[in-house]
Amino acid sequence: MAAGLILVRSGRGFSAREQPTAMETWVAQKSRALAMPAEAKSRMNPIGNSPEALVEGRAHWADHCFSCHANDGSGSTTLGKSLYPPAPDMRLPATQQLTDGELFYIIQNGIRLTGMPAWGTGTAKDEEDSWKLVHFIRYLPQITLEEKKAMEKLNPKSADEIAEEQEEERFLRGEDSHETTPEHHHH
Amino acid sequence: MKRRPSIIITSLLGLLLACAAQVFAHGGFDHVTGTVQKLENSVLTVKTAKGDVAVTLDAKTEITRDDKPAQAADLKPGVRVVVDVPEGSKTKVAHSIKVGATKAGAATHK
Repeated sequence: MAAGLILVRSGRGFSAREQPTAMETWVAQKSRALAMPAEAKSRMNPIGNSPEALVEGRAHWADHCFSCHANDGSGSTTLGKSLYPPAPDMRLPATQQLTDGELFYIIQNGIRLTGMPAWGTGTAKDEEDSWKLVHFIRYLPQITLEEKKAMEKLNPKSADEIAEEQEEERFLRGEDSHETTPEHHHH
Repeated sequence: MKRRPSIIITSLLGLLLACAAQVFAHGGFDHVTGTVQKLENSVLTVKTAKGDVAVTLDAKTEITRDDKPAQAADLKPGVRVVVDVPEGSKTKVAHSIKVGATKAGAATHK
């Protein structure tokens, strides 16, 4: 309550437009570290890091995580940048230095007071998928342009966005002479 | 699973005062669709139905043809392109450029 009053009086209010202060970031990171069970941090990834696991993790990421984290993990999406705190660049040490167990715990349980939801449903298949995501998160700093383009085919899209993409493809192939204005939006 | 709730942690979290966001919108790019007019000094001019649009290329701009890496040298006059720039961007730095056929329709890609 007191902290809320301080924020309101300071003029920052509850707007999510601003960047978290250094103090908020420090408190959040320390709180997360303190709140995470020790046994969760030390858990090892039970899924072998095979090319197949990586492909599955990549597809899962493109479908479930893209909207906030972007295909390359940069967080450079409208939604990811608009969250408070904004989605982190997961290629950087702040994420890459977390243990496999910490990454798995965050995927399964989310992070309270952020936009990160708890994806865990308690099933063995769900846990396996999350461990494969952990492998993919480790791979993010090396992701290639071809892999990102392949992921774009798997990103969730509305019917309008799909129709727009198809129109663009026809245009690029030279099947449509129509030149449109730069007014469309997609992700 | 053992939990370690504490008043201290709860108080610290209270300082954040952040609310989980609801997903209502997709991340956005503006599309510039048209044919290449010219590429000079990293500024690409694209002819669209509503006039020319200039976008800037930087080291991070992803140029592809058929989902494979392409080069700035492929952006020749008359080539069809779809350029993505961050939605509402004033600087119009291209995030990605898809390269297609020439305006006449003759495919320039394999």
